[in-house]
Amino acid sequence: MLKIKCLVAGFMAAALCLVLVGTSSAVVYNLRAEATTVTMPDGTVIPVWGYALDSAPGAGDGQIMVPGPLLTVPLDETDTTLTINLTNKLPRPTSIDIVGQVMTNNLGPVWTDGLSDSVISSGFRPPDNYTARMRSFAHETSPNGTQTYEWTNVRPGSYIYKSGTNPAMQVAMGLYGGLIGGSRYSKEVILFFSEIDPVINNAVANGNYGPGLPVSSLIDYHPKYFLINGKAYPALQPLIAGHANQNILLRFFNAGLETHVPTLLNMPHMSIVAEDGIRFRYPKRQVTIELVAGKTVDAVLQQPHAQGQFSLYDRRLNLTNAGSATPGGMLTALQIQEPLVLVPTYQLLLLD
Amino acid sequence: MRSKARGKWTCLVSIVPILLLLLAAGPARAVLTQCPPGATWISPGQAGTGNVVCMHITGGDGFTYMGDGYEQYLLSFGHVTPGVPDAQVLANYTLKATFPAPTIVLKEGQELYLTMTNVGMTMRPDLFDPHSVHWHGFKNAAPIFDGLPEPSPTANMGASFTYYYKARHPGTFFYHCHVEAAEHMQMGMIGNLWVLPAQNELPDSTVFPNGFIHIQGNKYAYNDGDGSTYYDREFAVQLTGFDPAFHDASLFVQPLPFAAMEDKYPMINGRGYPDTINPNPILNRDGFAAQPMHARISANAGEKILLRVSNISTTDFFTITTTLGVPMKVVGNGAQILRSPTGQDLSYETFILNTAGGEHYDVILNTAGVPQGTYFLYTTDLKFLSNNQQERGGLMTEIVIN
Amino acid sequence: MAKYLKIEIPGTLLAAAVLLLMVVGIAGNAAATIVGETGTSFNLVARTGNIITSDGDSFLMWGYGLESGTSMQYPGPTLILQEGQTITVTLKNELPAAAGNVSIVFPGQIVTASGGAQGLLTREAVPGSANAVTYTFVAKEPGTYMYHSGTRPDLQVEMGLVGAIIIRPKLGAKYAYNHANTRFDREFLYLLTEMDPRIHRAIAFGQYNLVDTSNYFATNWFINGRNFPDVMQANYVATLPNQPYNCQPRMLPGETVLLRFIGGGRDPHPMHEHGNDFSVLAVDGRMLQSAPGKGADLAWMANTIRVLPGQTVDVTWTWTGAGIGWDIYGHLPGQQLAPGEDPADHAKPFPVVIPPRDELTFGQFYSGSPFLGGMGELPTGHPGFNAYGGFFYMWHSHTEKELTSNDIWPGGLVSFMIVEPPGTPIP
Repeated sequence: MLKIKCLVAGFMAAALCLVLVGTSSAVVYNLRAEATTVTMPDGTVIPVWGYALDSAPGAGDGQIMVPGPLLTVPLDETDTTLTINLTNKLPRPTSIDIVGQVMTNNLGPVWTDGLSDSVISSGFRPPDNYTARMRSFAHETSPNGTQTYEWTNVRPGSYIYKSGTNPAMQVAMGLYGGLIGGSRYSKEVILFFSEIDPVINNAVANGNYGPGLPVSSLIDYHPKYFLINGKAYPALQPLIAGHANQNILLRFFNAGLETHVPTLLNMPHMSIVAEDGIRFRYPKRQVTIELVAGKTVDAVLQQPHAQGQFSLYDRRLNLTNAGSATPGGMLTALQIQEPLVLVPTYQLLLLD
Repeated sequence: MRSKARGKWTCLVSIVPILLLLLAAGPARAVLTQCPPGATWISPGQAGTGNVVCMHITGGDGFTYMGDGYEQYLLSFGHVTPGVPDAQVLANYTLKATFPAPTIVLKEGQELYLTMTNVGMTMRPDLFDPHSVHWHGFKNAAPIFDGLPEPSPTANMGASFTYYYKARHPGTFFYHCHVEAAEHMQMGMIGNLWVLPAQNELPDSTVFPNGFIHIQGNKYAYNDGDGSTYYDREFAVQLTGFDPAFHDASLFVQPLPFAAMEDKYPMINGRGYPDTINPNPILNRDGFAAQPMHARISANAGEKILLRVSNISTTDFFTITTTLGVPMKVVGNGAQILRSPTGQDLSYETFILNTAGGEHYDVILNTAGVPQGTYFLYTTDLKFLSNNQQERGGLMTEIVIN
Repeated sequence: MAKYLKIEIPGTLLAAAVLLLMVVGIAGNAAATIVGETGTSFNLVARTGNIITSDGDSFLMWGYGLESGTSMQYPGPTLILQEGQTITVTLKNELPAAAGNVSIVFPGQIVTASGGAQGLLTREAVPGSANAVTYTFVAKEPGTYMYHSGTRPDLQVEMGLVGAIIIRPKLGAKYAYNHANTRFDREFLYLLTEMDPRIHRAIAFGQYNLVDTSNYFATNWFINGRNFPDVMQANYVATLPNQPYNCQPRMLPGETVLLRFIGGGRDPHPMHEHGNDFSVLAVDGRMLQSAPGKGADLAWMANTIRVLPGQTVDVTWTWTGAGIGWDIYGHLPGQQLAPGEDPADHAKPFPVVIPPRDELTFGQFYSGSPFLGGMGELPTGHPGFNAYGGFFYMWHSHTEKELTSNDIWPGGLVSFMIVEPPGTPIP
């Protein structure tokens, strides 16, 4: 059926109405966490942990990806709940955490006895115990197990789902993906930043990570590969953005452990409209975006002046693949197509 | 039990020669507090009464334990108990530095006479550094009380300098030593400094223009005029880091690795997780409460929590977020309420707050609707969830909602 | 103060630098406006050259220089433009062939490039000075901007190919933007960069294969291409031939100064101002405003601001000393007020007793008196670098590690604002 839907997304509350086809029922995603490998443009193969979207819990028919599949919750009249059935094919317990969303069936957190694997409490710290350590922000999914994580009343906007279990190690391994509350905007670009430090990944894959082992924390994390949407230049192709007379939404995500500063060349200033799914009272007009670890930023390109390819890169100059002299890293381009002849039927009402 | 990672260094080894030097050689040095008649002495974390208050702190050295049990030498300030005669300070207050340094709390309008006595670095017979107090963010400051060693005098070992401040602006500040700041701040000379707004003292049932009614005992971060910075409970979130290679080089009198400096022990209120949640003081090798401040946050559901956030790392930016599921409302930055000169409300909500060295923020967490339970405040710069080579530590603490 | 490491500091070097400041710097050349190149057409050449750091070291750089000159400079020439003009910049490449092509990108401007060869981010100048590339853009909106190499920027920006752009508004030269509330009395440039010396050493020895920009670890920090205390020396001082720009803010009480921060390198820097809070007017050359025509009505105040790589930030700062609780001029009852003095504090006595001289260490910028314009007795050996009894405020990175130059304290990202007593002649 055809219906008019008004987005209440954080970045343009009540400002944007578009025509969408169809509706969906309960939003349930069957995610599987499993080890795989990724190949960098220089041929280096790196063990990672990623997520796949399966057709049913444990079906195992999805492909493991880093970042994981982009999840959406339409936030229409009926679908405001996100349910993730997580199947764990990793050798360690894992869980899901979404900064900015409230998990409503959280049976955790989970504490272990010091740094050991011995769980000593769930839900609360044992009284007068000051040495137990959080292992998971929420209830865990054991290896080969499946657990359900639920968020009622999902907030609109752009978010990152990631491992909530030993997050330093598990996020560095690749357990992250994007979540969008509200309908996808037809003219939007996903720009998902992350990094890989092969020392960490290889140590985990080879059983050399953990207390007393050669790598025992992330404190010496020094990434060598810098990725947008899981790829480094030149594997990263220009991203089709929209037409020159359209407003184009850029959704920036950073699941890396370091700050990146996306910059767009030869374009009018971006209007930064939201971060962490929260709309700004006044948009910020900038060339640079501060994309700190874990953050999402939504920015609007207001009717680009011309068609063509426009370079987008990390102004922190992470533009190499493991030190190679040839261009690499967080570099891509937005492909702006020729202006549409038809006047768009919608409009973004944003300050200047 | 914690291990003593440092060998057989004890205070006695070097304290004797230093004190002998102080007392016997060179011109006389004098510990001298300056506190006007009628003023009251204040204690760490406690705002005093009256218009004029005094405090006496030391600048010196000491020992702490990191989250993984590693013993760490540091420089910092300590608090001199009011009533201790000046003449006994050098004898009684060596190796009594605390981390963080004593928290100074003032009421807006109060005048503070802050005497800082340089008690020397007991473990460093080679070191003759002066110390200073820099009130970070003090508005319209004069160099004489700004603590910058370049345009002002600073107190030598065995001597005192009294700083005078009229606390005209409320907010979350901090103070630190500014002598050779890259060294002395990395080494730990950092403390909280908060000024409570005059709005707290309004008469009961004062009605603000927007209808908000002030009740006696209400607390606010700023003179907001509308109750928007009201809070029920306040907690320090002081973000710092230690580089053990730098601290060990200092203790063992080696060249200091300025260029190689990298924080490996990120901390909240002077501790790495899980020490952050221990409500008790952490005692050092001498049984002294060198790490007096925990970072465990607790509140009843529905209460508003004020986080007094500061980042004084000499090497790193740190983000913070919580698992409460409610946004962090940032109402102050740099001890300024977030309002534009033309009065626009510039406060904002975010789930991840980035902080750089030298930045200080006032953040309000509204726990209305948050179920009872234990939550976390942690950095999304996930590498800093480490106590050096130990995972699941570092920049994290727990929030208990009752 | 001095111990093992610090003894290695060439003390004479530091002293000499500061002495120069007194002789030629502060006394003569601290201009109230930012120096640079004006006009609509600029012919630049990328060349190699050396810079001198405050620890007495020297590093090979690649930099932009004027074609009319013979050298490069670090940073490149500050281009001072007028709003609305069409700007042409040509670039030739005199770098060694091994350095490859070179180029310029102008973030925040919409640029047309011609000539040269097509590169990844823009058109590039190939080695050999006949092959110029031409960039054209309209200086559409006033503000603070930058330019830098768009060719392997992770290496070439590090090597020094970065410079500042200032577009002056139609409203007038004493305004940052086209609004009355952006007026200033004096302006100062803070182009912030950092350096990983290993990269420069490798390039200097032709060991390009040793350069690994993913291992980047800065140990040296610069304002306008100089470390502290070299920033205090005069503009165009002969001893720093390839580092023409200083950073020596000075003002009188009550004046408004504009600081143009530029994140030219690849690390963010938290810039902290002693003495008073500043007001943030603009980011990336756009006023913080709620709607067009409002001026910087969303300006916010703070004492520390994160300057991100690739970002520019404009702030204004003023200082009066009002409300401090004692008479900053040391007036006695009945004495006249100084211009702009806070009457409420007039003749209020100094609140504490300063201990005897032998109990204190006196900084080189202390006048011997706590009062503005005051001079007092200083111990023998004190250099007496505060000629007018001014108030010195450190403006610096609060990532305090960056207050060093390649392991040597003090250095790096430090400057001093000097608030001089009323009547002091400041050019």
